[in-house]
Amino acid sequence: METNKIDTIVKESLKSRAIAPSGSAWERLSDQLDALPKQQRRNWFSLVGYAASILLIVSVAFFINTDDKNLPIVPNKIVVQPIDTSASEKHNFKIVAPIEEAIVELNLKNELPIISKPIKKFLPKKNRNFKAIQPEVIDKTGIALVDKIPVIQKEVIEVPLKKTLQETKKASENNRIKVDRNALLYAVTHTEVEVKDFYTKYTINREEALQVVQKELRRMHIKIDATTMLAEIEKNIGEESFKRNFMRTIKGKVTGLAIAFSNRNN
Amino acid sequence: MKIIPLHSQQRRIIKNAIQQDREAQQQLFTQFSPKMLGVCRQYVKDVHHAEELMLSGFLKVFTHLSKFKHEGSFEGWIRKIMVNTCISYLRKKNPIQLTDEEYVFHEHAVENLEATGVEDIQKLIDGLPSGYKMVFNLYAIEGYKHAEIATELQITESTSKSQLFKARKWLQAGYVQLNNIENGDK
Repeated sequence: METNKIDTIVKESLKSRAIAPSGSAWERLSDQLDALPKQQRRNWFSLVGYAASILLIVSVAFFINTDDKNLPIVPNKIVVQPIDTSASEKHNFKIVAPIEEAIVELNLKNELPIISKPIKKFLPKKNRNFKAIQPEVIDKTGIALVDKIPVIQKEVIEVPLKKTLQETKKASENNRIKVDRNALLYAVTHTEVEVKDFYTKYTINREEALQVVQKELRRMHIKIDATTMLAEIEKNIGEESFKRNFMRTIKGKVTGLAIAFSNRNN
Repeated sequence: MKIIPLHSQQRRIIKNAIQQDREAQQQLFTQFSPKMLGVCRQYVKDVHHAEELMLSGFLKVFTHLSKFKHEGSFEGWIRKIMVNTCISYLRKKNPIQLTDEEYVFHEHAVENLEATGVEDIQKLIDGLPSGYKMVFNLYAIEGYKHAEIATELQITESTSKSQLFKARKWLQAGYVQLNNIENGDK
């Protein structure tokens, strides 16, 4: 009972007690209240800033990931497709080393080039209907485009395959251009009659010129058919050069052309 | 007849205070601050320090004024905020010391306590150890139950009871000592 009395007395004494705050109390509280909304507004702005930053990062990451997924992954592999030799063995075809291009000059009488026989493309099994491909001719001097795909010529069908393959291998080993010299000679220059007329006109012995070319090629250790080389030279030498010094010009041209040929072969 | 208009007037002031009306806020502050400073003074010895706690409590009052549902006394709501502010401050400052000191019981010590002034009673309370004072204030003055005190101070109910019992005895002893000094002076 006595302890409860203490509680009651203390409670009555202190509960109704009032202490006047200092004069500046309200001003201080007012200042704190003024500072409060600004702080809240700043917090709101900072929250918006954080949200925008996160959104930006997420969208950038999303775009990067999406681009990566869309891009096709190309494996860095070189696929080597073997040549189907069984087909050629069956039909006893000769596979000739590919000819990149051949310069063909037509005569003014619209005569066809010497490459008279059509070249047939080696087609896959399904479409094995051979079609003749006529060489494209551009104006007087043109480029006969021949695919790098192995070419089959009708005229060499009877040649045994093993021998032909060996020859082809040899040719590739020597890194030489396999050209029919007569075909090239006629294709590059004019007709045989015209060539003879040409030499007769300038009183030049073509055999001598051919010997000079052969000698020069031998000296330079280049394995190129001399007749073909001469045909190239004849094509390029102007009439004035023939008049002045034919043999000297031929030597110079042989050297230049030999270098050009060797560069191209390399 | 007069209570209803007063109540509606207080509602209007509170409503304005929620809308950050400084005048309404000042009105509430002027009305309740003296009593609330007295509450804070029960827990803290220094008046200036108590005033700081009171301002901190009023800041909370005005910030969370919209949460007041007019279901109980507005003064009681503010008072509770003040008490909680003081307790949380004291708990942060120093952990509550639950003293277990011996006391001298005087059977007739409380006979003349009613004649003691408020300042003397406050002095006696100020002299209590922090654990005794907090439990006594919450139980005797604020009307908390032991379970509530236990939750508030994170102690057991039995601890709260023992702390209250010892606080009462401490006050008695303090009062006897005070009376002896006064009698001795006479």
